[in-house]
Amino acid sequence: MINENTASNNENSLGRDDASSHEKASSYAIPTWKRLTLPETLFPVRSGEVVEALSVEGNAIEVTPFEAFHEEWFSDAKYTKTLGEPFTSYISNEKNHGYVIRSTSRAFDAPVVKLNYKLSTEKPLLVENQLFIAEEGSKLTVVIDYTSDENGVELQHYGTTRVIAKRGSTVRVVKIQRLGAKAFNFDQNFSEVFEGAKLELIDIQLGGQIKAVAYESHLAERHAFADLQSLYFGDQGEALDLSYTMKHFGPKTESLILSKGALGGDSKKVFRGNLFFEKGATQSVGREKEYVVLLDEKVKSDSIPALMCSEDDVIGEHAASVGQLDHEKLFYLMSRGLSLEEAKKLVIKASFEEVLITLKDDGLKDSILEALDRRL
Amino acid sequence: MANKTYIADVDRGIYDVVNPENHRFVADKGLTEDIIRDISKEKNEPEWMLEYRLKSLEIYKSKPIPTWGADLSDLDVENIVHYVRPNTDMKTSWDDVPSEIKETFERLGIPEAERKSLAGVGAQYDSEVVYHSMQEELIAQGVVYTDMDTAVKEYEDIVKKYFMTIITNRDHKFSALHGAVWSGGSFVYVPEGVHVGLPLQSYFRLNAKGAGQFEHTLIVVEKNASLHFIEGCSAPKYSVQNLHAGAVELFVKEGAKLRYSTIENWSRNMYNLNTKRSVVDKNGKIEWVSGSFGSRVSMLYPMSILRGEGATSEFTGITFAAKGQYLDTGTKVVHAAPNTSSIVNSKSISKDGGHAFYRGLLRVTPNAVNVKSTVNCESLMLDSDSKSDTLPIIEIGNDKVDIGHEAKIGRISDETIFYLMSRGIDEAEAKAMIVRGFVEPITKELPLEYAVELNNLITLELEGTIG
Amino acid sequence: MQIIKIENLKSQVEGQDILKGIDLTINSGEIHVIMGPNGAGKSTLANVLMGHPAHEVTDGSVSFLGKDLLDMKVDERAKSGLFLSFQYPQEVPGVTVENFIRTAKKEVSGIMPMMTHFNKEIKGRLSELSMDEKYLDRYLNVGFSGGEKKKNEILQMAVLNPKLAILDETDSGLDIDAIRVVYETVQKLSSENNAILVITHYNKILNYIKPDFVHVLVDGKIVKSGDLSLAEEIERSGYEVFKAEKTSEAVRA
Repeated sequence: MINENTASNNENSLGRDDASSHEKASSYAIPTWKRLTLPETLFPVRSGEVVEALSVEGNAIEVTPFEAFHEEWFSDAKYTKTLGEPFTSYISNEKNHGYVIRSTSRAFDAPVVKLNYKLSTEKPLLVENQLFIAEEGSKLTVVIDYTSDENGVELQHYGTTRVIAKRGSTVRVVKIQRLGAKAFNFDQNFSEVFEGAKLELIDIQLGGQIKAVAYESHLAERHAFADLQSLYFGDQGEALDLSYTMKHFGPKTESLILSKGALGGDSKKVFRGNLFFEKGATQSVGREKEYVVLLDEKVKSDSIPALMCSEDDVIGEHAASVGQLDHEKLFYLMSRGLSLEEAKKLVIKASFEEVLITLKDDGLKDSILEALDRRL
Repeated sequence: MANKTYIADVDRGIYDVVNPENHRFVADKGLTEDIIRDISKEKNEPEWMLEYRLKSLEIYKSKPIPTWGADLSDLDVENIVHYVRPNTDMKTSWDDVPSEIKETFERLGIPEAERKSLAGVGAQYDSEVVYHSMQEELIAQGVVYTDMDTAVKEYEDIVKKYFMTIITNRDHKFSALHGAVWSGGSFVYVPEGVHVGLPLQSYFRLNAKGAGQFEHTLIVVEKNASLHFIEGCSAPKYSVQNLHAGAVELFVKEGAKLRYSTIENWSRNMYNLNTKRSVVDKNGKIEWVSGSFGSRVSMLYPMSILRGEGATSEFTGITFAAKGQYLDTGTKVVHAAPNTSSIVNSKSISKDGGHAFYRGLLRVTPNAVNVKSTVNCESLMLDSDSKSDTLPIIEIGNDKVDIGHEAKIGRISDETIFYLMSRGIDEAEAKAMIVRGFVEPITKELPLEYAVELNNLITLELEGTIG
Repeated sequence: MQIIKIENLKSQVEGQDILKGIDLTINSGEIHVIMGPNGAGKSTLANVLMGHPAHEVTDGSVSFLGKDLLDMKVDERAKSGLFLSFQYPQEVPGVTVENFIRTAKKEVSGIMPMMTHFNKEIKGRLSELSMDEKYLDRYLNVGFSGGEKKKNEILQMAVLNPKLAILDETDSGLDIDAIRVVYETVQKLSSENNAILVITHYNKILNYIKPDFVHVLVDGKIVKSGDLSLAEEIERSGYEVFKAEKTSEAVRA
């Protein structure tokens, strides 16, 4: 039998069993996760302001502050691959920022809402709740950039983002996390994709000593499409827990999970890819691909690419590839005068390029590559 | 054809032979220390074995039944009669075996195994090895092939050195149970440099109502030696739960090679919780060939521990989950030394509401540098009542690795069926051909009789689907 | 002898009309060529005749050797002597080329061929097609190049000896030498007892095969039939003129 170190077939959490918890002044008990040790200083309870900047390019966008969560907007209960408790409660109760962004735009180019959160020693905590709704046939792009000018501070970000892509809509949500090396990032994202709608998610994790994200998208009706691209970099002292879930309910739905990352120092990562085909999701196609580049001998990379299938008329595939950089490529670059370090950087940046180019924002892309450059 | 729905049972027919229960010794229901002592005494075991059994019993009683994986909640282990011993003592010649028992084995085709191509047969009948024969060449080479009960006494030093060192009574509840009540099984010892040319085979059989099967197989292949061992099972069908919690421990020494082939074809009411593990030393090689068919519930994860530099492991397996079956199978490979490599090729088929669950583990420890591993899982679903899940876990502990993993789930494509039918092959045969083609990488690794048995099994299973 | 008679054949796929009334008669000893622009319905005709499940026949009839073809299941059509060389042959892992062809031969001819005889025949055909014997042990079409797949189709045709062979774009993906070898084999297999229907939009094959009839298929219907000279006309002026004719037809109607 498999010993206790392996993930269980338990769908109620990400395999992060709440086997024991410690009492804390904040009244939110720190859970025990199987593959990542959570620090004592989580779940601070304090009121605080948040520094943010919002810009909207395009029309037919309505932005209102997220005051309280209304059940009729979105059903959280259907989502099982979440950060679990007490994160979900904490984020609901202690929220200090968030928007409801609604689009009715049918313009050729999707309107772009840019949100920049800036954390600092004075304002180190962001507990956000977001709701993005694309009405029927509309388009919406939201780019959220979590930044900080300080590198050594234990900034904390907790968030729940909910996305509704109604029939025929096209939604893209981009999240870029560069909060500095000491930050804690806990982010869960739930999406519902309706008939013929298209959802593109881009998740870029650069900073943070703990980066834990959980994305779960439901392809609820026929011809729904969801695509998630993830990029990350893990450095000395950092840990990542990335959970990406696609659930096919409707027929002829399609999904893709593509995750690319590089791990250096003694960083640790667990990738959880969950591809579900529920009965009735006939003629659906789902794919998961994970590529990990390992840069130093002390790294730890765990991958759990799960495929659960209750419908026979589907195509489900996953592929994972873990290893060092392609030696042939490095040799080629070095033969053109680059040092080994420069060659490695170039190869990694080139592989990230594939995802970054879909951002369609050169300024953003360049600043990310720069940040990556500094870390490498 | 009116008998289509009963095809699955017809296949069982040949195995559903029940002998009247004329057993000499039947253990009490329920498991107490006294029963353990009786078992050990009956076998005439050395003191250390009794002590191990008692210690195991203690551990067993203290552990709960695992809550993950298959639903084992209605398995009442205490009610299973653990030890049943048949009328006869050990025999060395087929002629001396009582006719009743002989008949059972003849119906299972065992005498055919006594052809030139086989070196020896050890057949288990209700927890004891009844019949045993060895060809002279083996004996001359110094190869030991006997039953575990005999080995404990006659090859005590070897057994003591290896017994329950890879699968210990501390691992889980069923390994503890095994440590307490194990009985029968094969013991094979291949001395240094010896190549056993022909495969050794072993059969098991479960007969008495509610009897559990706890055989222990221990194989040691010394330096630069090689062996192919085949294990095949069958059991009759009962309404009472039947539990199979055997253990297989394989030791592959430096430069040695061991191929371990199995077809598990237990009856549809069996719980198959077998544990199989192998440790492989420097430059050694273990090959697993595994076909999981029968049983109601199976939890089976043959495991390779590559602890010597340059060790390799190859796993080729097929799991076929039909109506009412939950087959939770997979494989585990631990790379604990540098320059080791592994290949996993696992296929599964589910039909008629069957549930196939692939659970795999690939672990590379921090010191295991220059590791290469390729894992390939493919699942075929024959209808939408079935379920097929894959949950592989890949744990990498250093950067000097080359790991590739691929999995696919799908069904037989209509295009492929059309193509075969366009060449005159009817729909049922087209599907069967495609499924046999799917399974071919495994069948080609098995000896001919097994490959034929496998293909027949598949054809019969499929006939249940069509029409 | 009449091999096949197609009358007013109409078909749909996913609700779209593709064949809009095909009329065609092929007698034994004849080689027919169907040409036409992409999307005209040439491959659809081949697939409909073979019984592809995705295509629904909405009207018309097909008589094959005196029997109702549309009433037969796919394998029954093959057993009656119909053969289709696919444009995109399927890959079937685990099933060797040899095993497959031998099984097909058994089904189509009704008797299991004797090993020695079969081996001799298939090896002869392999060498005719300039194919290595190693293909016999390879899994059916797995990893084969486009050209290799096509040759494999013709290999099957040679062994199965059909009454009517439909070749669907068999030349696509082949280099000049392969085209020559394949069509020379096809020409050799043609006799007064069987018939061949070649579907192509590449008229250079006419260098290797001598058709008795050439038909132009545009927008689901055969708009013109003729002989070799029709093919030469197409080579000179393309299909536009036929499309125009069709339009004016539609206007007049």
